[in-house]
Amino acid sequence: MIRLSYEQKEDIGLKYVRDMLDPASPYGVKYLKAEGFYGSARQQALEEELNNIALLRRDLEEAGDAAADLVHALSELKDLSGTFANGMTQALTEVELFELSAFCRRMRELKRLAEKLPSYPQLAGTRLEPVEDALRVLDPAGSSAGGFYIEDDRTPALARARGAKRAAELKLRAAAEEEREELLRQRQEAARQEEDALRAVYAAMSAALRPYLPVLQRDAAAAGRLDADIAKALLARRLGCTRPEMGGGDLVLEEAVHPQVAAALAERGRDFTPITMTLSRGVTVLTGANMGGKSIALKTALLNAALALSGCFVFARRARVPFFDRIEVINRDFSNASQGLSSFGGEILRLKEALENLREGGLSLIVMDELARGTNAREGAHIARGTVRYLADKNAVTLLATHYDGAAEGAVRHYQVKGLAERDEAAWQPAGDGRDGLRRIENAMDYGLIEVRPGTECPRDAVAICRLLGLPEEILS
Amino acid sequence: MRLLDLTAGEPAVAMLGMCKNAGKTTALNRLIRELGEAGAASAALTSIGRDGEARDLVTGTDKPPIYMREGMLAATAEQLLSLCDVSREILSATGLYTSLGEVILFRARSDGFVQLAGPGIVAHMKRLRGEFARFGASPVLIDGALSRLSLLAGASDGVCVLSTGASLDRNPDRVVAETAYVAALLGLPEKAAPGAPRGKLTLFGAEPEGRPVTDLARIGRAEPEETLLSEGAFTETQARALLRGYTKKEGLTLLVRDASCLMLKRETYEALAARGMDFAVRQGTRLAAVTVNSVSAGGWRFDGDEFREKMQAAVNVPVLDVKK
Repeated sequence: MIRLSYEQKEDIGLKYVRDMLDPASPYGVKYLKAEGFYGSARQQALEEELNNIALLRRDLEEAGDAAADLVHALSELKDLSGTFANGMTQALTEVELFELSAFCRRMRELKRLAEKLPSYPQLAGTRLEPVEDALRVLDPAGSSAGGFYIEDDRTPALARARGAKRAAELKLRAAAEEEREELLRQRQEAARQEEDALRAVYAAMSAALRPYLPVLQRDAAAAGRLDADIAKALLARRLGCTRPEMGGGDLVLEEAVHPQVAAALAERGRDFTPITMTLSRGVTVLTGANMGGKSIALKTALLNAALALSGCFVFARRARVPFFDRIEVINRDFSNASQGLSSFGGEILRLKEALENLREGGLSLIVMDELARGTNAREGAHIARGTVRYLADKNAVTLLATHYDGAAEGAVRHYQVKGLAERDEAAWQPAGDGRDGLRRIENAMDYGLIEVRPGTECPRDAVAICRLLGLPEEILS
Repeated sequence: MRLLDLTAGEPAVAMLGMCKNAGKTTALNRLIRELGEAGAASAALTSIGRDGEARDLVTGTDKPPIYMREGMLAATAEQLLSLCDVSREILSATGLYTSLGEVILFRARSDGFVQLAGPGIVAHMKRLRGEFARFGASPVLIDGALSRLSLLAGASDGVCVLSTGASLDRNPDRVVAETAYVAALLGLPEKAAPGAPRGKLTLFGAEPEGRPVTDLARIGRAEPEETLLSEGAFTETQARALLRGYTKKEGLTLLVRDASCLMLKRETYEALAARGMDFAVRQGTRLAAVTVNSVSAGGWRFDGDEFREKMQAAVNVPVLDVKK
């Protein structure tokens, strides 16, 4: 079972992407909320979900009007889950019965519109069942007007009460003042009988409707999935996402992007440098300059894997994602302080937990940002190296970003941020102030990744970065 | 004279009362009856800003007072439906909520009593008006409240009917004066703001861009055309500061959002008016008629004809005796 905390979802950008999904109906919102991650036990379901998105995206392109009509019809659905639940055990009120009849009419229209979508017959889990049986109970006369009214002839008691009430009302319209009181009294008595008669009708209708409520609930759920999948397809189309290939043992990302970071960069007129990497069983080590985007690369890999596993298209030219059973994020989590743990202690406990989880079987994705950086460099490097060696033959795909020399020695693969490789002379002048320095680092930095022989020495850019940021030369020299 | 004739052709009619037992509901019922007798079955009923009163009804024993006609539409809160004894066809659940539940729109399939609690927000009232229009309803009769006048001014493009009566005060002259004051406020002319406000108070005149005013007592002798734009309420204290300044206010117009923003005692308003100051609102209401009820809830009564005549002399719209 994949579990990520709210903070982790927010931190890696999963919340950012899922929040951009904008379903039209309350049922679509519910579907997305309940969806969760597709673990390896739900491989088939995940493929179906991705298939739905692919089909719907094609419909959006080739039958845009039909899709727009469908989305509009979805937006008119109200959340009646309370009414469905009430209806199973008790008599419904006139407003609830009205809402149900309106729901049935909308569902009928929705079904008609959905069937106009070319891909509708191929979609999984979105089949809308006919609502005619329920509608016959709610509107036996088959009036098309859409209102809800119990006609006089529904029961003899109702006919009698309405007849008496109407007689009094007609007389009241022209009655002299002295007759009014008696007529009002008669009318009030008739109104009371009308209410009793209606209550009996509502109870009988509710009972007759009960067997069909599960159909309406299933229709609501199917509409919710259709709605949610259209929302996913719309987002995929708008942001150019691609369908991830699922399965295999390697996490492969070609030109992957982190949309949240890319959007922030775009605001400053900069482009996100897409990331290409392959993570295999064992540990892949990522090294590189400070401010070289190692954490962003980590998040990009995490986000896209998490998106695929939660049934969404990904932000990459191509992606292949194994059916992970767990996603373990190990970083310095400052919330540990509230539990009386140092950030180092919290990190090590998370690592221990992730290693223990391996015993449950299944494949883990483990992502570690600068493991053990909170301690002295010699021991920190020792812990990092040991972890890399330990995980080399375990059933886990691990990505470790580190500054520690030699950590990559036992790694299956080693990527380096290109960093300040192309050192342009101007970039090396000490900066006037920090802000200017930031811009110069951005100009000089190549955020791309290159694969190097595992164990290649980490680049030494920290002093150069400090100089660019304007730290006093006395410190640096 | 019929209320129907005084409000004919208006898309909306808001009923307002000076106090309890002023005869507002009687006036509303009268208008409903007149509409029904004229065959105008497409009228619609709702209320604005009477959540509190309506809540008392759910727990209390007050008799449903509004009697609607078959064919008319009404919008009220879901929890009040059980207090309506009119046979009804539910047409729409509006998605607009009050503290008494969702506003439900129905068509009366008989005559009968209704309890009304409509939206309490301008935007919601506008949406409800749209719903009414979808079902072809017109005019919309709104059971209003003076305390919610700003809602009404923002949401209604129709006219008001103001009900007053002996219950307001034992002294008929005071009832006339207070009612005439409210009638004047309800009839204030509408005027667009000459420019963007530059603070709570902005004076437009010599400086077309407007200048912020911090000391009302120091506003100079008015230029030929000056507008004092007040954001939010214009209070007694501000009015007194204004009165301390130059005596003549001719040419000066005080412009507020709507009549409810003029939080002035009648005497203060009259003192400013007496010095030649004009008043205007950005969102106006129009007054179609005043109704009077010469019988009070407290047991005293005025001479009906004399009271009506006094009132007629004090306001510039027709005055009707609600009991006749």
